[in-house]
Amino acid sequence: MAKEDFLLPDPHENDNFFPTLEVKRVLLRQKLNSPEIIQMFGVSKSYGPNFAALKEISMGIDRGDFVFLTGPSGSGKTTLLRLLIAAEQPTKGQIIVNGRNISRLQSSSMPDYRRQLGIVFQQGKFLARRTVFDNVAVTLRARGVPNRVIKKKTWETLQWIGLEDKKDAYPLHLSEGERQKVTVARAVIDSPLILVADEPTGNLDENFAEEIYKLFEELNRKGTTILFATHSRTLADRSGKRTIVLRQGQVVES
Amino acid sequence: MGLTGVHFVMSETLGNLLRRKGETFWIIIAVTVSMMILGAFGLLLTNLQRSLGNVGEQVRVVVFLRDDLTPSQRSRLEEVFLHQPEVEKIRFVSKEEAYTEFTRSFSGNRELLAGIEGNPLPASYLLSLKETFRHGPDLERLSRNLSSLPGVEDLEYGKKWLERFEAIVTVVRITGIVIGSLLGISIILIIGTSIQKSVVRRREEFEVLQWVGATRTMIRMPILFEGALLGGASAACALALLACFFWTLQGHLNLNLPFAGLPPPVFFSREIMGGGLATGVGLGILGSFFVTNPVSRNHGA
Repeated sequence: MAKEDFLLPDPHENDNFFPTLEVKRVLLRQKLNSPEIIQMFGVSKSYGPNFAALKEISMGIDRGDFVFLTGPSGSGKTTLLRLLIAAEQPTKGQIIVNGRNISRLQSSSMPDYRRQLGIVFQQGKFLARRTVFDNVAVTLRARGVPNRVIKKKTWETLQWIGLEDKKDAYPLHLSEGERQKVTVARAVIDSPLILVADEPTGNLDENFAEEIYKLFEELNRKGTTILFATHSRTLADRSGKRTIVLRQGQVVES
Repeated sequence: MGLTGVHFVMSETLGNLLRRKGETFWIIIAVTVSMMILGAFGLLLTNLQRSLGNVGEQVRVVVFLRDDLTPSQRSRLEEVFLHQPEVEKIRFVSKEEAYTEFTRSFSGNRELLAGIEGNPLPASYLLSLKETFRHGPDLERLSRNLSSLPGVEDLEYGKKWLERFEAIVTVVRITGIVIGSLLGISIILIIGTSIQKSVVRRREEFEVLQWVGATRTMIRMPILFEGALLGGASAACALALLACFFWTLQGHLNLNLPFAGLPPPVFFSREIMGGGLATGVGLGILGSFFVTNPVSRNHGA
């Protein structure tokens, strides 16, 4: 069991024993294949004394769920996702992901944790001087997968995403939508437990946005939990999926 | 880090260097030139020290004997000399030999020789010293020990000349250290700056690696290896070019140096060449090390 799995009492909750106890129960439940893969308990994130990006967020997301996270710009969507991918630590509260308390994740455990995730940002990041194939394969290469398997899986993923004919192209020569497809392919190639996507269709025209959304749905049908942040309430409403609405750092609808 | 990790690091390193072939080429040229200057200086130092070592073989103590010394006293003295730890070998120069040598040296000065009555020169022993004892303090200690022996008239070991000789060696060494350090720093800066430029350009790449679960070692090691490869390749090029220059000049130097009383020049030994390559690799790692710290802080988490 990783070190961070042992929960330390939250310094902000010293006067209240029960939240820690509850977290312990969740950890145990998740280890016993509980339906909730993500749990947040009183999570707050502040930048300096005067700005609270998230205030006392408590929620759970079931394993295999497809959840939209919406809210206006500045509502805290990106902050929440950054906490989930362990890019930042909460100022207060606990986040449990697949039985692991990531609010106290040590830097040495982060690679291992991130290998369970697929991450897609609005502004795709690329290995600029490498081909589409290499950009997608890098996930498997960084995880020590044998070359033979890398070639097979990368090819399959490129076919699935419809970019097999662009495998030798460089990201710079692709359209915005194609580039986003590359980041999606890179995120999903190793069948992540959870796909965290921050405005993945924000920069795309309607056709590409629809295509990306469909890819996410297909992935979700295969069992990946998806957390899709978007400021477009329309997309969330149209999908009929669960939607968590954030406003001024608080959950107003879940 | 397992085998797959090593494979990842190596392929990243080589891939990164090959993707910026032009830049890699110019960095190797710049570092090679610096290392050649360093190597040329090292070669000069090696040969200079060798020449000075040859001169050092001439360092000896002359023990002048009293004229009334009996043969048994002389053989006792000889035994004492041979038992000194500093002494390598001894040679006895009789009064007659000394006079013959003197007249040969001053054969052009008949007036001087005509003014000398009889043979005023004393017999002496020439004590050659072991290499490790050819230094001022050793000679001074040996002279002090021997001067009090019965039958010894006087001692001579060219104190002033020896001090000057040692001063030259010290100056050459210090100059070598200063030039070596300056060039070493410049090599670290060249490699460090070039890798830093490449790291800045690849910032997005490190972010991608971080999000897909690459470990800190996987992100950091290729940068260190790039430095090591650049340093090692430059050192190898510098050694190869120096060897070419050396062998081209060797024929000419072999003809002329003996006339100047200097031994024929030699190139670096295998050990020194190995050390040179290791230094190149070390400087390269050092140059990239300073760049990788911020990278691991920002992206290795």
